[in-house]
Amino acid sequence: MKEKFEISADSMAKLSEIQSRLAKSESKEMLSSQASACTCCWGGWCANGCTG
Amino acid sequence: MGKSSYDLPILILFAMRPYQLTLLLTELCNLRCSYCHCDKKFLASMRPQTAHKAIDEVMEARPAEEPLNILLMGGEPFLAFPLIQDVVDYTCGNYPSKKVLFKAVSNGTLIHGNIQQWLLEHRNLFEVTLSLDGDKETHNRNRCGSFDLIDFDFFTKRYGRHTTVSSVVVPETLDKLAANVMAMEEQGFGIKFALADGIAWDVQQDAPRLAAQLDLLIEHYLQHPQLQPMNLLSYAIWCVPGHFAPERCVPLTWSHCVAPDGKTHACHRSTPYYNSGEWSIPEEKISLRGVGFLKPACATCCVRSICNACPATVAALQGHPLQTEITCALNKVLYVANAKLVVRMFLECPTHIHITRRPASMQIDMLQGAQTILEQLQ
Repeated sequence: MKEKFEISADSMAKLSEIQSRLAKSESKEMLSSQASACTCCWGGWCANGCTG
Repeated sequence: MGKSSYDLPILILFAMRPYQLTLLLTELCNLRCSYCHCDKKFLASMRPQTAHKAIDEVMEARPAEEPLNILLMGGEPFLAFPLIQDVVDYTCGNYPSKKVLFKAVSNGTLIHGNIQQWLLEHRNLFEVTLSLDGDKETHNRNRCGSFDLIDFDFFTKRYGRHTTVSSVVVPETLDKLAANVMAMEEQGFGIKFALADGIAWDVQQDAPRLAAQLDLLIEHYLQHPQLQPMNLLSYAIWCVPGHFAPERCVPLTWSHCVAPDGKTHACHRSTPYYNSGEWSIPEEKISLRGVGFLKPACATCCVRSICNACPATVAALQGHPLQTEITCALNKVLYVANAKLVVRMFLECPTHIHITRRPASMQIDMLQGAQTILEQLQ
């Protein structure tokens, strides 16, 4: 069985710091049409508009 | 779900979403790919009048200012090349102010000579998704030895549109997944990979093999901050915390399909040509409305809003317990890999475009979503 991916305490602290910094700079800029990706199809044939 | 500052952007995103009309132009195909479920007894092609009627109806029904995608499907759609030309000419001639993007999913084997010339002349409005599984050995294994029939230079150098490849991986080609992705990226293709549906994946053996390939790709993307990760590592995990509404496929609301006989279907997958064999969608679900989750446990899973977003696939697999469990197990491997990639990007490669091109609000949710997945799905 593959090993579980663990986040170390140091890394967790760093991630918290990143999240705090992001929260302060949070913007309401409009999302681009490339902002989303999905798991729906592989041929670009669904209507989600995420065909890359 | 609480009120969030993301409500406005989501509304804007959906307002710009194009409607999609799929025309199943022909049920003929010049290949017999090993994983194709289409019923080869069907041999119909659409008449031009049928296509015109479908186009007129969608133009009538949808707001004039809304963009429209017209997806041309087969079989191999370029076997009906005169009809493709007719559909484009008819649409552009009769609806010149409508913003329309034509798309075709093709095996590429017929795209030579006059078809290439026509595509070059229409490249501002016509997109081809190329079915390509990887290198020659991988591709030929399941796709009838058709690799050498594709003019790759046309797609990568001359067509002038960024071409996406649609690729399928099976257990026998799984160990080359990462190498194939990297090679096709090197050629300049965008990549959409899928695990072959409804085949005998051995979860005990194949899940670790899949994870190993995804680990190779994670290292690859961490070393290339300018590369958008391929689709299997670009899942919308920012939707996991619940502030963002994922774009899901909603047939008969955002799209519909017209078959060669003129009948309307929810999507191409629900036409008789595609809907055959063991993984058929049952008649009572053929509208693809209210399909629900793959299995009851999905209702409380942290990735429920983004997982199994294809209602046709879900409808076909429901009621097949073994196949449902296989799908779920492989999906978990994919979500965990996505979460690992995001966490490692923030820690090791914060300039990666997968992060930096998104607003801060979305980055926060990517990170939160990744942490939730790692806590709950490993």
